[in-house]
Amino acid sequence: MVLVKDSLSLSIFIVIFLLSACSSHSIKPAPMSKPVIIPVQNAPAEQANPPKGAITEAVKEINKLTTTQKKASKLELRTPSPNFSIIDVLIGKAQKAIKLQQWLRAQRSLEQAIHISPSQAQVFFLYGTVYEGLGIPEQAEQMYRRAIFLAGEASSIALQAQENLTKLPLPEKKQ
Amino acid sequence: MPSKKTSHSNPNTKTYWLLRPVSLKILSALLLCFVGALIYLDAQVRYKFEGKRWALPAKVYARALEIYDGKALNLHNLEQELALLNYQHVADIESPGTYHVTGDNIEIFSRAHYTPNGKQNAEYFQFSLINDVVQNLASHGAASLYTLEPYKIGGIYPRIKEERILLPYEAFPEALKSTLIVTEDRDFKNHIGLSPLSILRAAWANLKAGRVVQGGSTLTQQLVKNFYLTRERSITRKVNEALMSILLEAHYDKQDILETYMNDIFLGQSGALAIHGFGAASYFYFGKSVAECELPEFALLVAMVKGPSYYNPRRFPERAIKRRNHVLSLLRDEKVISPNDYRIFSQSNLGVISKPKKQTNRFPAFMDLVKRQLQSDYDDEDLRTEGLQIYTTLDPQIQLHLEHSVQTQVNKLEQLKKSPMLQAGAVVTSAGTGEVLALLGDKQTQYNGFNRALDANRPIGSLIKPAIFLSALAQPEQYNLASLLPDQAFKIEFENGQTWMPQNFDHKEHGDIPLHRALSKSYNLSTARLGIELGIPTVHDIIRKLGIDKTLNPYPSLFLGAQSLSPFEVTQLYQTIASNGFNIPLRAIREVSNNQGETLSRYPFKIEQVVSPEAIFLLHHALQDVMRSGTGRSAYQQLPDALHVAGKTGTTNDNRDSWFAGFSGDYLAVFWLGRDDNKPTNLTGSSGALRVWTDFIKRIPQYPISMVKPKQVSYYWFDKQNGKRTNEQCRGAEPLPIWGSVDHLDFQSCQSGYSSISGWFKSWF
Repeated sequence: MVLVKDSLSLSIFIVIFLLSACSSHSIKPAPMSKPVIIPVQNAPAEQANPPKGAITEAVKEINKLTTTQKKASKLELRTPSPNFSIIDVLIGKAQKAIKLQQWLRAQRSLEQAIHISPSQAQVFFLYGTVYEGLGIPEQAEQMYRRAIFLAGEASSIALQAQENLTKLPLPEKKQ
Repeated sequence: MPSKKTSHSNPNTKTYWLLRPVSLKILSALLLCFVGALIYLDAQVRYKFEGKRWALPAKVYARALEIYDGKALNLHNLEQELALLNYQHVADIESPGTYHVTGDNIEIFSRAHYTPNGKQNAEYFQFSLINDVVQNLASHGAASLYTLEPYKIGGIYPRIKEERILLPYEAFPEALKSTLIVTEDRDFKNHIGLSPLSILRAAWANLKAGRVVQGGSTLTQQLVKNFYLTRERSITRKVNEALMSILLEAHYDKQDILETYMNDIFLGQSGALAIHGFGAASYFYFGKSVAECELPEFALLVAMVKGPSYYNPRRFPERAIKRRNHVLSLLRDEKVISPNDYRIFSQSNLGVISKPKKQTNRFPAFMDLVKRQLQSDYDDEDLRTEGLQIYTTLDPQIQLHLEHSVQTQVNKLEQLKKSPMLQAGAVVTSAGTGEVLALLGDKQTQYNGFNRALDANRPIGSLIKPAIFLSALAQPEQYNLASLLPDQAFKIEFENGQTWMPQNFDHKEHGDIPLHRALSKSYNLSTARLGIELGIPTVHDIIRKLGIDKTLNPYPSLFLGAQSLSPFEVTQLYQTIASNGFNIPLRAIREVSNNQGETLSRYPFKIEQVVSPEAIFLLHHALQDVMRSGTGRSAYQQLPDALHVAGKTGTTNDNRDSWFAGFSGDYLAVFWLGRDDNKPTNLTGSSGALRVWTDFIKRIPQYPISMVKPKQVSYYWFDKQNGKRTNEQCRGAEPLPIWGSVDHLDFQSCQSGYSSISGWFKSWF
């Protein structure tokens, strides 16, 4: 039975292959069921008949868009990826300052990092700890929320931020 | 008996007369007056010298250009900024304030300067600019980031506008001090404020020349004349000058007097702005700090002390060279320089840069915003006199591009669309931080008047629509991007008998259309219906959350943008959208410090999450649709597809206002075009403001929008026409992000065939 099914699939494949090789793209395969004609007003022509392969391309692009920001750089850009080694330097400076409870110094380094690249989750996470140190839990909460948003909920930064959020002395915890 | 008369002729009687009681009284009175005058002058001398010597205007700086690996930067923009900062392109880099370009490689020798992060030393560094990105940054040190000094964009001046860079005594080079003393007052270190020797020497020189060629005033007298007195030529003023000079010398040491002189001396005029002191003059004439100047330049600065207008090196270079060489000859005679040095220096060029453009207020609309934001924290008087240093967020490169795009495109539109008297307002911010990078209040970019970016309150048309759609998308149980909206005509009758009957721009109905298409095509009927369904309070609520804090229109016409907002307010609204639902108040200032560089106030980064990330993610998708296939699609004729910009057009009744608000990964820019008399412009949002926006955006190196997909959002395939869930392989299927479950959504198999043969084939397995 298995052999019969495989042979059938193979035959169909060969037929389809030959059809697609010999005929133009306007030739349709026999539909599985009778098509239902849906009247649509003002549908733009380019959308009603998307070019061949457009959907696959669209999906590819969306996949690229929605994974991480680093992958976005693989698109055809006029500039390459925002891979800033300076961010790591500034994060290091901020971490040192936080250890020493030098909040203003830490804040300066983090702001500099935000100006360079405002989408680094770790920077916002550290900014949350700085605001905690400065005794401004409302802003600490917002920075942690930003970190969670940027890192993605399942990431380790997001989990740590979530944990910090639960400990914040807020009048009404929203998390 | 000798007569009284004869006694008068006796010489001895003179003494007697002086000793007479009446004469004594007069003498005593005179002495008393003199002492009184002396006390008064002394008080005057001390009061001004020990108090605030000058009203120091606040100095306003742009952001400092930071250079690091990975920074998006192109050579044109870099050179434009270096030109603003008066960096000289040279073959061999040897001194600060110079740079060199060879192919992709750039070398810069930056100047020492202060930023809120502390003192930055003069540094030599080099890097490559490959595909508009900084790479291979290298230097003698280990730093991975270098900053150029921030460009001074203006000042907040008192009534009398004086430019002055206050420097301490030690900051003035010794060579400058020697040149000044040798030329103006050789006995400065020894005299008591007056120098009889100098007076005699000057008198002799003048006698020999037959005209006044040399003055006998000491530096102290010159300082007193400029600092305390008027230019009046009278005996009283001369006496006061002499007395005050002696008093000044009695109270203060030579160093203090010389420092004040060097900061006070008038050395030129730049429009309404008087240039005072060597610190400001070195920048004005040579484009560099006084510490970076060489001896011939000191000689020229000192030469101008005698008459800055007469010896103006830009207007009268021959006179200036002659006078400079005279100063150099004095240095040679006093053996400060050798005869050989004299020969070399006296043959050198003046080295004066072309006159810096507009010193007082280069970017008036942005300065207006800065002043308004400062007013809440600082008194006007303090801003004009305390020498505050204000570090702003202005990016000169972005500002110059903005000015260029508005000027060129508005002119073109006026001709092409036969739409005269167009005006413009525009705001550009950092999409991620809410910092205002550029602002324009008039198409005449230098015009310092009505600031349309801040004050032109105009109906915003369809720019309001994203707020309405966001309200809907925040209710995922009821709405998604594929939800069908009826785009059908309707009317509302009010109690006062008035009716409201909205229309589409094309005066047609479009039947049931998916929600995201209603937005991308900017259909009014479906949007108005959606707004009514949501209710005015719900829409008001979201507009407030997005950052608009003003009384909102309570009528359904709100849904089609009857609400008036300024470009700045529109930018605030779109800022929250661009920054993924986090409200970030727009900021134009980062930090304010006092004259000594101590921080007075900081304006740190503050955010508030006001909309769920899921709803914002869906809205971003729809706004990208606007640009891919909706009313904003013409932008992609000039922009790379991969930039994934998002935006919205806005047009008001009779084409009176043309709006566009759009963002990339890095920048949000809002443009308004219209007429001050509110007459029609022949422009829609697409044919007007979008053109300017596109022209502007294409000029700046930047990164695309990069959305982080929230966990609860997934992509599904939908039929473009009826909005039902379907298969990927179906013809007319499009992927849409959906928040939450799709179980309740109707599913249909391929109704219009397959997108391709392979699609059909895939559906088998």
